[in-house]
Amino acid sequence: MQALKDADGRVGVGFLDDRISRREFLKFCGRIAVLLGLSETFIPQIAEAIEKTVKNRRPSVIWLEFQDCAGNTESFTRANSPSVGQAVLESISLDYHETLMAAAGHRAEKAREIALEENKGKVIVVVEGSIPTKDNGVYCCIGGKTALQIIKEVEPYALVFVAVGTCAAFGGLPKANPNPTGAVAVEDVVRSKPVINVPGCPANPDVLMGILVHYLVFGRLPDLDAQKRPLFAYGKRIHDTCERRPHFDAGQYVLSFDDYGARQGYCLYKVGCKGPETYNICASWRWNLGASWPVKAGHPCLGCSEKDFWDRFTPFYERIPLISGFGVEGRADQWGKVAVGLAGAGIIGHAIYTGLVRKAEKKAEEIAEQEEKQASESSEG
Amino acid sequence: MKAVTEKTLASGETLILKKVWELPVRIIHWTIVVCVVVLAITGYFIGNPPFSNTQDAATIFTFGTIRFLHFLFAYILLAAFIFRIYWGFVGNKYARWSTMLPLSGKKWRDIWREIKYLFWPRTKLPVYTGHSPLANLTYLLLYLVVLFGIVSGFTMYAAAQYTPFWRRIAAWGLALFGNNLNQVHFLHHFLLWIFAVFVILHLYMVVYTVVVSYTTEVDTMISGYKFVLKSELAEE
Repeated sequence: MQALKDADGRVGVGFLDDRISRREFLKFCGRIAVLLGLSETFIPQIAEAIEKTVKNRRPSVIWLEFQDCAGNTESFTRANSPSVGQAVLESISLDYHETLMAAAGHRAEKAREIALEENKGKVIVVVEGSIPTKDNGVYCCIGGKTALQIIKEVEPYALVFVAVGTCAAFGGLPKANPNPTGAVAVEDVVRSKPVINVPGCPANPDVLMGILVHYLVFGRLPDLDAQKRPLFAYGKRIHDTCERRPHFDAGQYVLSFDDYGARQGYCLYKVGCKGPETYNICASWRWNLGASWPVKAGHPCLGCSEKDFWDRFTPFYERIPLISGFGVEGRADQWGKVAVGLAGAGIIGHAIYTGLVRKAEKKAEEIAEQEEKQASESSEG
Repeated sequence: MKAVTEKTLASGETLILKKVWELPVRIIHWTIVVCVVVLAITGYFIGNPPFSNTQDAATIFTFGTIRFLHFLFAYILLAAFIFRIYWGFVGNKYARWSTMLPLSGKKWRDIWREIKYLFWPRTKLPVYTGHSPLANLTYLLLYLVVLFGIVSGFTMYAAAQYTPFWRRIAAWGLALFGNNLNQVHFLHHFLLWIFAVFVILHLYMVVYTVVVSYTTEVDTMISGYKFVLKSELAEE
């Protein structure tokens, strides 16, 4: 490892023993600066912070996987600048990662314990997957310990918990109805330490990198919204950053897949796009080196980074959820039309009924009058 | 002023024309009418756009305009709603919250009497100068529906505004709906149909009351005047 700066005071020279060129490294730093909304004057600071991190092999990061599909791990190993991102992840002393670490069994568990003891109070704990709580949490055990036990064990050593993916952030698919394992989110279990939610199915890998870099450069965690998501990534709805938005405002919609509108790249609002209900960075940051993202590829947003999306954002190809009842499922509008029809029929029925009753009353009155008349006539006679 | 200020019923009782609805109440009423109609139509289009334009997107702003109208009239409705709450404290007795809220057992009994009359109209129709207790209850429920519309609607509106103020409003609103924006859209969708049912029943009841009783005129919400029993006026 060379010095942080060369004789001319340039940063990023000889970063990671020539595994990554200076150009590539600075490009990465530039991307992260853009992601965090910083000006280009921060790029040298970011470069310096990352280099220091690599040199000191700190902070310590441990990555816990619970009820998950390892999709976020997959996502992070394919981060936008894989070589840099991966190198940084490795270098920040990723002391424990079930999928990526070489060690196995007791050695792996030992590595976690050592990392925790050595970095007490300074460990960044990344959690992937939800935590089962039903039946004492037996539905997810690692090394003989339940997920719940592991979290409680790690909590005193942690600086912050980063809940990566919708399962860790909001419970996700394991929590979906009927939630057989009693799955909960990280923030439902962790009480004494801050939690950052990075929802998504999977979460965008650059966002985790952004959080780490923000912490390295500024020494504090980024600003969060009310649902503990970093504002730099989850500050806006997909709908408001979407490249198809002008078609929405113009009233141009895809009515069915493969129609004229779909070929023209019109708005996917009518085929169930949940962009208007979803906060994420997909539309502006995209995936796979900015290559594409679902809506660009012609598929409506599923709202995968929102709370309870599996229960509340389905059906995915309907604008709003269906209503079940009486053995049929229908759209809210159909039920509304039925209600209006019933009201119309009700008032017509009521009007006829009232009319008939009044007619009968009148008739009764007339009969009574006539009887009275007859009675008086007969008495006169 | 109307030419006719007094009427005599066949029973010999005298009716006198009395001002019941003050000008602000009437203005609020018709403001809400206009708002609900515009919001319902634009809302239906927003929820389920029935067309898809094919012109150059740079030249048209159809949906943007529809949404703009929806938001504009939402603000007007919010203003009318706030003013109505205020007027419930300073208006005349027919508009006051103390009259409208069914807080006594007598009011609930009156409501039941009225419902009974609607379905067994052989008893004598109860007569009230202002709203009947059943009408009061209906309008209170309607105000709750309007409040729900305002809360859910402005939550969605706030979700698309990114100033600190609107972020806070969105956070509050979303917390009410389990932090799920799609749920807000879903529930807001029902308002159109609740209002549609209400409008049908409301108009029917207006006509019904005019036909079966002597107190109301169809234009009472325009003129503010109603025929009231002289004997009842004396009681007040």
